[in-house]
Amino acid sequence: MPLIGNDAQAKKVDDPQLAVSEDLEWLEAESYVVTVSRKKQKVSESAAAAFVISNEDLRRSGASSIPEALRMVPGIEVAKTNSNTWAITARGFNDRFSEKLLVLMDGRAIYTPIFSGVVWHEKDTLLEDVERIEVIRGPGASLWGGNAVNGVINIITKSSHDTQGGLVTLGVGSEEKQFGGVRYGGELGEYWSYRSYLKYSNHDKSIIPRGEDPNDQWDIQQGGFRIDGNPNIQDAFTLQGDLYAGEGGSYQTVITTNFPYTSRQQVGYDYSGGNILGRWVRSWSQASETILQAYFDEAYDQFNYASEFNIRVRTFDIDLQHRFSPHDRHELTWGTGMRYVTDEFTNSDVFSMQNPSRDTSTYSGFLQDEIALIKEKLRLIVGVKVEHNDYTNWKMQPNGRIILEIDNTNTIWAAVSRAVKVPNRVQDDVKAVYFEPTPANALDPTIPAGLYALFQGVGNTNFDSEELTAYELGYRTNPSRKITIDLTAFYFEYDNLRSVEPKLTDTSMVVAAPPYFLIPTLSENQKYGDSHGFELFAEWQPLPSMKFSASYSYIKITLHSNPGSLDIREDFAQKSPQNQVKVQSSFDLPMNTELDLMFRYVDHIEIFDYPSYLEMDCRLAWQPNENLEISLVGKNLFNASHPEFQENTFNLVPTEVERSVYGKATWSF
Amino acid sequence: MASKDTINKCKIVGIVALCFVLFGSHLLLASEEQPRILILNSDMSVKGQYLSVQTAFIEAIPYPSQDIKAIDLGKKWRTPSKIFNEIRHFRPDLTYCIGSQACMLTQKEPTPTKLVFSSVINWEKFFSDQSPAFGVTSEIPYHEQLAAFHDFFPDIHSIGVLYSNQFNKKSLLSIHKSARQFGFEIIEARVSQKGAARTTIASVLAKIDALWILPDPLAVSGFDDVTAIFELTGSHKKPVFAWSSGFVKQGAVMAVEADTHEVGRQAAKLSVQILTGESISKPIQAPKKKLISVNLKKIKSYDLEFNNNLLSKIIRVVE
Repeated sequence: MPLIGNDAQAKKVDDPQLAVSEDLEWLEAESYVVTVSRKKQKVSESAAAAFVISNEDLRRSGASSIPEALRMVPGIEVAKTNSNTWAITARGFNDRFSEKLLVLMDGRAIYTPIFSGVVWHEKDTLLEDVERIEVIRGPGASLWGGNAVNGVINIITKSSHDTQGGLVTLGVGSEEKQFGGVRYGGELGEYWSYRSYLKYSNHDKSIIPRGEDPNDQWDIQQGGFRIDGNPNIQDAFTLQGDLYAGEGGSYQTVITTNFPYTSRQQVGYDYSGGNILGRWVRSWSQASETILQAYFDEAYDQFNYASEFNIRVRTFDIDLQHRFSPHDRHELTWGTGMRYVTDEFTNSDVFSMQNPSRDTSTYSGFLQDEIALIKEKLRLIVGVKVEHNDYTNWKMQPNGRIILEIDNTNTIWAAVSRAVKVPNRVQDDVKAVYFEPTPANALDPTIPAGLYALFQGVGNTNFDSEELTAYELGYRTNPSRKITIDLTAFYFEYDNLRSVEPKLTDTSMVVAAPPYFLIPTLSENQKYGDSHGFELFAEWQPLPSMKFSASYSYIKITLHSNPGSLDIREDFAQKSPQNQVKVQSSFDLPMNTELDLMFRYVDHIEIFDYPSYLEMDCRLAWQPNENLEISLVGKNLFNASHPEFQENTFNLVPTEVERSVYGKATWSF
Repeated sequence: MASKDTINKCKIVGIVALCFVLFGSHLLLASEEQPRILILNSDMSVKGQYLSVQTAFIEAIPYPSQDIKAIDLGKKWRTPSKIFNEIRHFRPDLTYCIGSQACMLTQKEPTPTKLVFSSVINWEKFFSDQSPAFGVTSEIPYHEQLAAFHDFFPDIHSIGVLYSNQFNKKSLLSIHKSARQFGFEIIEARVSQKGAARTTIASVLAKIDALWILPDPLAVSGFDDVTAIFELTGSHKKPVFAWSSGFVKQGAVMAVEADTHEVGRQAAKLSVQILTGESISKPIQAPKKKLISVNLKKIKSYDLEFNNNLLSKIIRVVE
């Protein structure tokens, strides 16, 4: 054989079959990425005010729950109303059931259709299994549909492929009294994997400054599983489910028609539920993908007043979504979905429905086109969601977004969107719920003193959707690889906002001992208004082992009533802190220790006359080896206690959030 | 008694002072540390690409071995959560990602270190101008490969390129551009799904003088595809150009490939430059050393015009 060329370097290929095998092995190893990666848009490329909390951010925040973790998101209002209830929203209109914020967990809506809001302490998972929490401030209705008005929160858990092996967490603390979790993940053949988990947490009461018992201690036990499979390069399957049960309580002002109408009661609260979700993702190519998802969710809440009041809600949801590129400048996404909700109420003296059981359905379809006007420079996104619901029939929610990548480090975007908040079951169908009694002669001086008027909330089938037209403008820049700055400004115009209108002309006198006046009140669309503000976020990482981030958000809400409106609802313009500042710093110290400090300043809340507060959370962690982490977390360290929010839907007696500390050990194997 | 505002102001001053103390002490401590390098290898059992670049990288790095840690992502017991724990525990100053899985892992949970990559097909899907990185590409630049085809086989004018849009859409744009310089006509043989190499090649066979296989996991998804490629091209006496010498013994007439050891050495040099703060003019580099292999038996059996004057450039020969 002639040996050609440089003799020193030349050599024969001795085993080419092996050489090709190695090449094919490399190709196969490289192809793995297509199986697991789908179209993921970086935050820097999105035409929305998006923020992502990664699993690492969660770990370093020391957060013991999802609401705690959300405190780090710029512009999000997070307030604890008592030990087991939270008020969380984006860009105003905060309440225990913040009805203008849509929340999803792995694509499953955890937003209750009964009150329009999230019962946060019931919606939990093992935080170590959360891959990321995506938060979009501003409307997301053209993709997500009704109620994604002021924001969308999407909690995404890890694939079971990524949670193989065991994990044990244990902790004790002053407020988080005992908590722990166990997770184990394994393989089911070559392409499938599973995990299952159990967790338990037991929480102490909050505090009422006057010394009364808030009765809001609570606990939850939860277990679940997830199975993921990628049997071939194109298909990915997921099946997951959870079951939970817990006990809580509250100390609240209960209003009934029995004199003296109001009484402070310690109310017990049992809750349980479960869900199961299946998802099939077919990747036709890198630019084309179909997702079919279905889930069933059940929640059962039992309130132990003098009489029992129960709510059971079952939701069945199916969604189909397809993304493809008909042209190299267009990426189309379309989808359709159906949601069926059935509920059962056990009426009581405190709360009753006209129809104790009812089924409702929602049908929807959406289309979005992402158009590359100038490739890799200027993109236009136009989309619309059409939705039919049983309360207000057809609603259309369009949006247009444009994003200009000025250069490698500067991006500017703008968006105009329309979103609607659909009425909920209570607003449409409630038979009787009572508001704080008023001396009757305050309404009509001719009525003798000593008699009271009771406002009775009743459903209004004519109550229409609340509407938002949103204008947003954003700018992102990376002046250096170590610095990121994100600025978003917004102007929101609200129309048809909900008011609660007393129908004085329909007042009746109820013969009782003593007699009282009953004034029916209905949800109507008698309010309108606007909000404007901005959110500024900056992150600086001077060293790989050191990171700082800070955000400042400002919001101003102005609301008006239509002429003739007698709205008795709280003024939501005064329920949000106008200014919020959040500062975080993370340090990797010698000896495998980590220090994280978080500061937050929250402006005063006018309507409750709550003062502004400055608080600090701190986490110190040590990893003696790769599998063990021991951490000590202090929360709200600056004040012995401070008030954050008042809950007036169920008239909870106001409580304060206490300083707390907990220790936690996490062992993975 | 101090007002609440005064107390708040004191707290803010305290926070700022604390940050300065932490920042200063941290800078002091950081400056005394030796640089640590983490190697994330997608699968060390893939010897040809992944393991050989790692070996060359470690040999070329001038830091003590205790400051270099290699993690094999091919070991199934090494779950991502364990890997992230290991990374956190090791606290690297620079992470060298070998292969796509390693790059994907760093994208999934960004590590707060500088990144260098190699042995990745379609590296642009992980890194962009917005999330830049440093690295060595896995292929010899296409214009150099086309120049070799042109120089060695002057009679070949139309080349069919076997590829998929998923992995090599951008490569095709670059190939078209370079081909014009050498007077080649490029016929696209685009594979849209796994196992479709045979039908795709059959549809272009009549129009091409030669077939060029790109490194593409969808276009060449297994031995069946390799067999189909050489059965079809052999029966029509169409020469095959490939990206690896392994294909030359199988029946390809020529391969222009990167020297994987040199890729590892290049990545090491790049890493040292980054860690020492040297300015780097080309963050993404092409392999500096190419290896050319030919199959003389096939060349003869196909009666191909072959430029013998360039034989000295050939490194590997198959009879």
